[in-house]
Amino acid sequence: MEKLNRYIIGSNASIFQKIDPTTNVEVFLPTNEEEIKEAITYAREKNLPITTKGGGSGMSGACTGGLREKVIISTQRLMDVYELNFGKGYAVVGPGITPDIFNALIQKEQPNWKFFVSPSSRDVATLGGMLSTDGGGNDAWLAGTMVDSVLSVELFDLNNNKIIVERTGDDLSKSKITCEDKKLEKQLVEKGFSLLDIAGSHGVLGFISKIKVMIKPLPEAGKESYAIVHANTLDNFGRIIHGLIEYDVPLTYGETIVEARHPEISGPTNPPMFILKYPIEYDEKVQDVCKNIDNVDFTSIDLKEFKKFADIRVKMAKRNPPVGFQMALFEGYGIYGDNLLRFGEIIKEINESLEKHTFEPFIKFGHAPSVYYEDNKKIKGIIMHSREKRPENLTPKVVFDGIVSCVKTCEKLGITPKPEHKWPYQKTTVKYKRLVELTDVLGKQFNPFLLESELEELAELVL
Amino acid sequence: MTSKTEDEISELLKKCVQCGSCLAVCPIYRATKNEVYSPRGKLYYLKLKEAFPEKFDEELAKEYAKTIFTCAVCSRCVENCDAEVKLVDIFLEERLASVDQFPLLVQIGENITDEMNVYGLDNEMRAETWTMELYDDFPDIDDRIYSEGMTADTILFVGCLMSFRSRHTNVLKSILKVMEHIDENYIILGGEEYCCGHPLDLLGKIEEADKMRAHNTEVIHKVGAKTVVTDCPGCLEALIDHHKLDQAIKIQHMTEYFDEKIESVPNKLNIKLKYHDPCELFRNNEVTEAPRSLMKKMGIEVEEMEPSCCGGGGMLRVTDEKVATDIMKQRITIEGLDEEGACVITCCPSCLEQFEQNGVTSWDIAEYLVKALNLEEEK
Repeated sequence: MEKLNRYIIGSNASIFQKIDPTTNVEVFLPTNEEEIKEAITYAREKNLPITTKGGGSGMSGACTGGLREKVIISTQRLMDVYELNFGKGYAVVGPGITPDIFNALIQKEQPNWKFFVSPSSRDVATLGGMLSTDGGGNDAWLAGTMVDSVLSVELFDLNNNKIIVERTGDDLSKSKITCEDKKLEKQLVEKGFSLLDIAGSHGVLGFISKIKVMIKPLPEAGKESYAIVHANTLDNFGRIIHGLIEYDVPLTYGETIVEARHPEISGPTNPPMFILKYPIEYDEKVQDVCKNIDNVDFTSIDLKEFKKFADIRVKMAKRNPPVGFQMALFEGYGIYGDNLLRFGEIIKEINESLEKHTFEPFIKFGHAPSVYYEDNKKIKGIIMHSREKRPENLTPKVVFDGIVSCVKTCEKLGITPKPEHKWPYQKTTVKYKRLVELTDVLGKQFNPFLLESELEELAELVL
Repeated sequence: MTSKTEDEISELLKKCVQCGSCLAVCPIYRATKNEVYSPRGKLYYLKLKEAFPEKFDEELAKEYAKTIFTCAVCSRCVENCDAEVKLVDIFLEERLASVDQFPLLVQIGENITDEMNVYGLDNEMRAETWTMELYDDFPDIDDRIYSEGMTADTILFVGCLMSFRSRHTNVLKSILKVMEHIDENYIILGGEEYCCGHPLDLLGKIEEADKMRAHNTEVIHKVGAKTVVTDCPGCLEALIDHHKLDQAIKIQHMTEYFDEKIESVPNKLNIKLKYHDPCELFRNNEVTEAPRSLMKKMGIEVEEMEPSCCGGGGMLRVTDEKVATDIMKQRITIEGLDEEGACVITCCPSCLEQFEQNGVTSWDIAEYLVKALNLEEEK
């Protein structure tokens, strides 16, 4: 199956699926540290870039390695739980474990404990991948993004030096660095290398081989409220997010459906709307937020109803339109601050930009209120995801023009686009410059395409 | 199922967003941890082939064919797919295209078309193989085997596996005991029962399967039966979906039939057993309530297991015994079936064999039903 392995390994959820299979020179599925090192050595000796592949559920396409010849190292067999420490509230795991499998193992021993980062793709996404994209989930408001749950990371560089990066306190930009190669250790310390650098680095800094994460007890059962909130306009929708942030309601679950041009989704949900779970003592506060905004319907629901709406929400990302097929041209929009108060205008501009380039808007949804990191700052707002209807004549130029338009719209509106699909444009961002600075020390053989490709060439990868 | 055109397959491929949710539930992927065996991987191959046809060769086609047949056809991927891709339909089309690469499967296909059963044995032996073991319990059993002109209210459709493999004699004995107990007017088709065609469907050979079914349909209509009962979920699916039987004829799984007929039992068993939902029964035929209702009446407290495959479906035990065994090993570990006293109850001959061949104590529901009705000695 060796040849087939090299072909199939490119499968992933991004729009970049047209990966020339012959560019995957070799595929490794290591099961332990020795096999990881063998894979890295092979790539080093052949002078080939290394791309790490987890579950392939991310929208960035970082796991594809782009157009160039490369070695792929899959984490799918690195799923061990090395340590589960309920006393100190942490676990040490391999990068290939998924949140669902991890939580099943945790709850086999302690039914009321959990690892608290719940992306919609938690059945497939790996913890290594989630750190590499700094993904979050429906519990991001309290749990933060993936990096907020990480205590330490072990990664291998191109020379198989193990680098351990450990949290030292609440400031994630400060970490303790330990490395077998003391010269490298000194360089990384001087650069201020930290967990925050690894978060959202998309496999550029090395191969993550182990992660130590926080695990915590669940909130007390029966002490939570469930609610759905409907807004009559998108502006009011944004005001609700703004209000929930201002009131600092400790939501344990916050999901939204912004728009849905599919009767099976919009019928039962009536967007724009929220699905919320929070401690029962905050019921009044949440209702106050809603009362302060015109034409907002707050409805308390029971657990059964909550699960029904949560199920619609988690499934909608993969649904196709009533006619045609969906695609995620430009997956993430980070909207925060005063922009939340002009949400309607923002959606209008985004949709106009899409339609101008033959992409018919289909669905928009996201975690809200939520948090994410932008240039090492923690932002509170909504991470809104988007799916469009695939145009009949989809060409690389159509894709290129569409993405460029989205980026310009985001820049004009002051929205933070997630790095996905705009690799070349992030050359102006702090994160890009930081990754270039760090790869000057760590080497540029891990996923170099992310820092070096032009959008035109990546547009060729859209299937 | 229908045979799909290339355009239809192409449309189905576009629906797949490659999200990977199928990996999480695919028993083959869970056992191998290799994406080539995953539903997503199999579809991605076809997508890439459309995009880069010049980069695909015979060697790849052979490797791919192997993965297509390393599938339990449990349909869990279809159930879990939010993009509504009919993955199994695509896989079965691909099976038809590549079945000739597998001599053993070709042989099975020929066995059915030549001898009307998967084993290539004399089909006249279909009833004799097991009925001869039951003369002590059923001295007049030969009167229950169909011959021209016979009619009955109910037909017990036995299926190839149960007809020819001795493990199932006790299951059939149990079923017959209960049918006699409820004074059912039933017959068995004997040599006039042809393979239901389900194995041929799994090989993609629909046309050949339809020939078998046409015969079965004709005989069933001649008998004038109002009900057709079977303990084999594969046969059940074939009878319901592909046999073109008169709509007035009720086609039931054994558990549905007995759950309807039996209100209560004299001997409540008061035991706890782990119930394995056969994939074809649970997922394809949506029979979930009847087995549980019947077991509840019998006084069996069901310990639910994850509705995952045992590795016995899709001809996997023929095409890749190692993977089939690995799937079962995982099931044993996850569900604690290696603990002392662990016992599985199910209602599918293939699942039953798969559990037993891997060292798990297993019984068919019928084998407990006879005890609950005081028709059988203690187990």
